Amino acid sequence: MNIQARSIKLNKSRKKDTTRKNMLLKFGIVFHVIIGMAFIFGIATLRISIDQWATAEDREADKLVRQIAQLDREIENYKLKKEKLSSWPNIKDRIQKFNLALRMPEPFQVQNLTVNYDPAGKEKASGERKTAMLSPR
Amino acid sequence: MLTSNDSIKIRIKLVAATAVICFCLLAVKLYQVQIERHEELYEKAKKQYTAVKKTYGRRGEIFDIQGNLLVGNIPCADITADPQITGDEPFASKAARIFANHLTDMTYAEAYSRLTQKTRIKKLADGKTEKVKNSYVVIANNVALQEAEELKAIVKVNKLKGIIFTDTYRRFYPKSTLLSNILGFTMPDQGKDVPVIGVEKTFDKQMGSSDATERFERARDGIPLSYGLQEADKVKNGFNIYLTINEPLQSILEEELDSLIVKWRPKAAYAIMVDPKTGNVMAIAQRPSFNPNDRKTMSPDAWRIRITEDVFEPGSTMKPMAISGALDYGVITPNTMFNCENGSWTYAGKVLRDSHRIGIVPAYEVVQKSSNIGTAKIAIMMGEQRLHLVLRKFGFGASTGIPVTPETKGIFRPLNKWDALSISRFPIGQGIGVSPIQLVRAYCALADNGNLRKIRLVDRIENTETGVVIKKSIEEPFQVFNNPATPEKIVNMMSLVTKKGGTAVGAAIPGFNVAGKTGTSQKFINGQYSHANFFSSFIGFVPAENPAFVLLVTVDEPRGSYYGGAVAAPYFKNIALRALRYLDVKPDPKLIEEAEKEKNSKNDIPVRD
Repeated sequence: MNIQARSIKLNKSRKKDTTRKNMLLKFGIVFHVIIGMAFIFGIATLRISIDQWATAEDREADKLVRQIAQLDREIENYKLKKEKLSSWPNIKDRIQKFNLALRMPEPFQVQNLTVNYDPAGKEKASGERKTAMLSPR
Repeated sequence: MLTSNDSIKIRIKLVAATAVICFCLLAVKLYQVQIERHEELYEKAKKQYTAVKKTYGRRGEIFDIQGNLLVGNIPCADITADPQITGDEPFASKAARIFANHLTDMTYAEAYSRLTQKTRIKKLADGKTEKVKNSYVVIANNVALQEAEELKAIVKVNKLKGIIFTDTYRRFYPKSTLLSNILGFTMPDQGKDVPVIGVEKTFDKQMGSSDATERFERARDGIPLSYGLQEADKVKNGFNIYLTINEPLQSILEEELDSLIVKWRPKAAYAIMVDPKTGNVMAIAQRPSFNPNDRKTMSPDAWRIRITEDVFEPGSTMKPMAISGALDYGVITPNTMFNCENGSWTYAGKVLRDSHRIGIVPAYEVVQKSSNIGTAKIAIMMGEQRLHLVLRKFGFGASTGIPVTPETKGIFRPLNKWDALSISRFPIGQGIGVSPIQLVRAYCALADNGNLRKIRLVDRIENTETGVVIKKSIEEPFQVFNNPATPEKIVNMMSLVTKKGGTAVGAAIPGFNVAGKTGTSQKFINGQYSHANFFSSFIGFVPAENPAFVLLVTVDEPRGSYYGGAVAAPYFKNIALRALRYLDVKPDPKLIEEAEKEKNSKNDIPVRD
């Protein structure tokens, strides 16, 4: 049953317009969806790449932290070794081992050097003085 | 009859029904998993990706006054294994061989048995035992850093799984026996250092550290995820302690003490050097001692801090205190004459003897020749109350303030418990017990114009995190004397002890005025004074007019001789001479000349104490 009230000619032209409009509408929706999805995809990809980058950086940082910790431990070990080697019994052993003719200086062999000293860097004619030892003790 | 359309419809309905049932089942399962078992499964999953890391705080270090390290923390590693992974062949034998080759004190059999210990016996609450899975065995603790690094590399190359290297720190004493009795030591207990004795124990609160637990979400390889959960407590490192000790002086003191031990083979010996102007302990040592790095050779007898714990009768070293009291009260002058009764005198029914016979002499000669009779007579002139007060003022019967526990207060009877003999015996150091540090403190007062100070051992404490340094203040001294002329008089009298005719010419140092006093005291054994066991001491200060330090040398039961002047005084001289040179205290050229003249003149036999 034909319920069209309009002329065929008119109907034909209107149908063409509607189809175009529908297509445009559909395209618009699809375009928006694609844009939306692309945006979401982009965000997700960005997030993943940022996470990946952060993880890589974390890994690098962790590696450095471990290296620093390891170096700290080595420094601590050397510090203690140095303290052990600089103790008097050890030095005395070495003096004996290498037969070094070392002896304490006679009291009057030790001389003090007195210089004008100013903490601010300016030389003063008098006032604060700092004493430096010339001979090793 | 069913048409094809009907058949399709039924099939569709069946498929739909199956799908619905499946979805229902899935929904039920989802409910169970997500709602009912949520907590359990969430915890299980969390455990999988959450790591817990324990970080240990570092115990504070101990330094000398100049910042030389005396006690530190040495990096090392604990090696553990999971026998569930390491317990199978050929892995176990390969790993055992590596450990046996690289770890001292580790045999192949021992390493193998540990690596393959897949089960262990667990004791149940009802007393029964059962075998349980074992996933943890200790291979070695406190392995030196270099050794551990080498082992770690070998384990990596050989792809041995299930072996864990944990970075730790161990208390380390780089100077080994140096100052060990005062520093004390710690014992490791479940990853913590538990102090046993010495400064380690006294300052445990300041030096102690706290551990921290860090929780973080981790990636497959254990790296923390930056966007994951992270919780961490803060590690607290202990404070550093700076002692008043001067390491070079300590080395001199200990070296000389060691040579004294070789020469006199005593039961024990102590030496203490204190700055009288501040009360700072510059060096302090005792023998026997111990090496805190070598726990196998340590014995409780060697740990004991004899310097603060032991009580001994000071003998003649007590005389200057009593005589200075008499000078201060104006009871005597240095020239007051005393009859020393030719070496034997009866008082309160008991005979008092001198080790040498002298007659009527001035008070300064009583000190110089160390006359017991002369000193007793001076004390009697002064009276009990004054003598008691003087000795109290010098700090006898009280603690010295040294921050080392335990510290004895010595044996000093209250006045109401003195008997008739006390006044003649206490001033010559009999019937009174003092600790070596108490005696040094009293001499510091004599050396510093009567200023009695607290003994200082800790100079400053450093907060390692903020860098803030708390300096321990030097307290105001207590003035022992009422008369400001007294210190000079007593110091002059004491200077004669090391001069020609004195009891300690062996302590004299050319170019310096040495004020001091010898002491030879019989040990009180089984209710009577022994004639075979003695304490031999010399205590003095140099230069007498402006002392750089007070030094005590005490020898407990020397063999061969026992007079303080013969046993302890020469070591006083050796230590003092080296210390003065180190401190750059110049000798007086006039005194050098005098010493040369005296050397060229005929030598007198020194008077015995």
